[in-house]
Amino acid sequence: MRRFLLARGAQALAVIALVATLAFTLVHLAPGDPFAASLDDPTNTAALHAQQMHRWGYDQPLPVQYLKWLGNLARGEFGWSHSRNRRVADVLLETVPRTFLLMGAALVAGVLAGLALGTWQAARRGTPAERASGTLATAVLSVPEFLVALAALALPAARWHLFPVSGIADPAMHDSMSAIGRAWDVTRHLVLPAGTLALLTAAGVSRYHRSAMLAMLPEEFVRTARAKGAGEYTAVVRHALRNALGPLITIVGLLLPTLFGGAVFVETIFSWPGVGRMMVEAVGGNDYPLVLAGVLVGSVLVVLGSALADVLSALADPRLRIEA
Amino acid sequence: MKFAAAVLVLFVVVAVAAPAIAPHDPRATPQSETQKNLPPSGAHPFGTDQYSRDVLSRVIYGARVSLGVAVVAVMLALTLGAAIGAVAGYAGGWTDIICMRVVDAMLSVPRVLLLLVLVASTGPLTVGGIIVLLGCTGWPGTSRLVRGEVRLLKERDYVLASRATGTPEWRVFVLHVLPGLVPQLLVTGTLALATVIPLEAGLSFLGLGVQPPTASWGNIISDAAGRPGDTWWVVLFPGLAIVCTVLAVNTIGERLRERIDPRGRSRA
Amino acid sequence: MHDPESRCFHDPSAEAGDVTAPVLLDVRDLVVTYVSDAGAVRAVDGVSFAVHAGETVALVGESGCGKTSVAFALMRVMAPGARIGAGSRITFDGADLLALDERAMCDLRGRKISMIFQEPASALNPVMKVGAQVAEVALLHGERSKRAAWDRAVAMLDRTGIADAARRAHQYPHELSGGMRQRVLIAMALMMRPALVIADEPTSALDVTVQAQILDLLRDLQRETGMAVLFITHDFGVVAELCSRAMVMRAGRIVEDAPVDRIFHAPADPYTAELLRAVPRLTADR
Repeated sequence: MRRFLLARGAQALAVIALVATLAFTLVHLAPGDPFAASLDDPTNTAALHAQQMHRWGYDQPLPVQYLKWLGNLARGEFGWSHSRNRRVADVLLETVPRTFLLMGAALVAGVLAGLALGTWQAARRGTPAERASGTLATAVLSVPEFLVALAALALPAARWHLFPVSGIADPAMHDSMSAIGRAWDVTRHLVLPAGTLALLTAAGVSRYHRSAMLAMLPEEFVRTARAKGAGEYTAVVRHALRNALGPLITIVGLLLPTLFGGAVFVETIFSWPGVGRMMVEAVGGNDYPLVLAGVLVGSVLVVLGSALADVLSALADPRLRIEA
Repeated sequence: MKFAAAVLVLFVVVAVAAPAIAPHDPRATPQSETQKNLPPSGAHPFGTDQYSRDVLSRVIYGARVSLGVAVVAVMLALTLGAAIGAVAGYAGGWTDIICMRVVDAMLSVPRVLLLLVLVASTGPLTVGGIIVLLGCTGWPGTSRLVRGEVRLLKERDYVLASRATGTPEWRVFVLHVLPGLVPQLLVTGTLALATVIPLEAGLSFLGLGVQPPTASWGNIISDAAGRPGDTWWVVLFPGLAIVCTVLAVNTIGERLRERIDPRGRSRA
Repeated sequence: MHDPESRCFHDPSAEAGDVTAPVLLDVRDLVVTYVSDAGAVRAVDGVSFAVHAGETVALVGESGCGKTSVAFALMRVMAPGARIGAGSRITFDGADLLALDERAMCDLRGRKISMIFQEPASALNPVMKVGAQVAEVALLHGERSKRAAWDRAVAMLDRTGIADAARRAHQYPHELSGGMRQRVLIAMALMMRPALVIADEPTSALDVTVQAQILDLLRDLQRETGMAVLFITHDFGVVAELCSRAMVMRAGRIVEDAPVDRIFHAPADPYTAELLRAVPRLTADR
């Protein structure tokens, strides 16, 4: 087990390093230098510009630049965002937790819902209700995230004014609320964006999970359970489900990139001030360091997330627990 | 399956015959105020948008762009992915290891983010540029599948037999291994379409894809993004177009996958 | 392997079930059809037989003759594509088995009729401790206390010859050897002292030495509990060792049904004779 953990951790690090290298390649493929746009900013002088270039090694040979790049990243030094007039690292510190919150909430809600739906579908296989729900799930998956978000925006929010449709907090009142009040305020604002993402996650998870459960059902040990006198519920939930959980965790890990992509759209439409929206704005504002930082953060989140999923999945299977 | 294919064919026909069937010029902006933001009616079955353009015509022309971009981009991605995956799978060794690590890295970056970075470095793109962008970011998935397939096929008896008779490696590859990839590629390609169409739409929606006034289903919707409740027709109709095509493509792709996958297994 | 010729020695009082005992299971015209995309296949084509209380009966035949289908039909744990023919009748302990609803059937399974499966590696749930799997039988049939169920399970595992049962019960199937896993399956089947146990090729997946041990175990348990056993097997050695009566099956039909002695010495059906001849022997053919 320990060996597995080490190997998986090393693999994750290797991928992150590779992604950083990829980003480095991108920076240097781009025309001009990344700080050129910041020259438009009146507060930025030629001297500052030269200083930036030096800090990142642009006046030196390529290999040195690469090492400087890695070094800077490792130290958390991501450069300067001219569109926001702040250090990129500070922008990240603000936006990353918000995206984390959004994705976390969506993941938990979506996975639980998908799990329940998939299990129910496996238990009620063949019935018209199950088939209808399956078609519905596929239909939901065929709708691009931004459309679902727009629909969520148009209907419940605008027409029925149930939940706030933009931002993370009430701009006027938030600061004057108590701690609980503030938490509640954020939660209310979280509902629609996280709900949209959760809906899509649930649809995807339920499809995989249903297949996994259906693959489990003809297994011999399920027949053994029935021969012992177990009813449908016990056989399906106690026996088949337990075996399908391991692969489910891995699937969730594989869904992370898609979830992040969806978050970009959802954050933009609901004005949720996370990394996704930051990136879109940065692209519009030609703020290259910010864009790059966003990509790195996104990738790191995904890599760590899937490594975690792999580890959890292995832990869930007693067959793999024995070594170490 | 047949229904899905029919739907798809319908969209393709509409796209190809756009100039013939669109009632209005999609770019025409008659400067009259009265034509703005009209809900669906006899004259404008899909209504008009905020620039007084007929939405139906825009959706019809948009089909050309959205479908065209997706199809060409997928073909590009398939070709790249198949080439790289096949080489990696067949050659094995270090080539294989390096290629697959790069694939891992690319797959770890959410595709949307990758596209954003690339758009940031190149600036606003032409339609051709978008195709290249989508194609160049879509190959990792295919290459992994192809590599796996090639590694299996490499050990098949008929391949070994061919090599045993002294056939040069490249011939073995082209004549025996490549044909075995076709079914898998067909399925992958079809399902990839279902991913790329919404991707292009999303990008255009954000203003980073197809630039107005050229119509793409995505950028038509972005016109009404501010208040989707008010001018719902500008969102609904292109949206429906996207959903229908994606559903159709998904259905066809899934059926194809069922056909080729359990070919040897019983389906009782 | 076992040489049927030299083993006709069964102690009649021990193995010959008393055929004046009441009929426990009565099967009439059982037909099982598998429906698939490729068409319908009649795996069991009108099979009739009876099992008396306390009897050990064998259902013998080659692979694919339909014997396992009979077993699954009796327990009504068939695969989704299988159908029992309309004219079939199965009576168990006086009740019409085919007329019971699923709830009543669940009550019977494991408690009055149980099954020992062929492949212990796949018949056990890989992510559940073996003790829990055996205890589950008790919990499904009235035991309220998890603690008590566990204790009973450990006792049963001990009875089936698993050394250090208390510790083993906490292990997972992959940590046990093939023979031990089979003993676990036997423990599960016998937990509630069923009246009828269907043993589906209980030794086919095991090594020869382990086979002998399992057969001995089964014989002892049968003597101890007086349960009826229906052995599904293709192995005449098992038939000779344990059974008082044998039914030979071929292509979905029973071609011979007779006491074991008669089967071995004077088989009535030519197919039976062929099967017997097919058993490899050390001595020269007659």
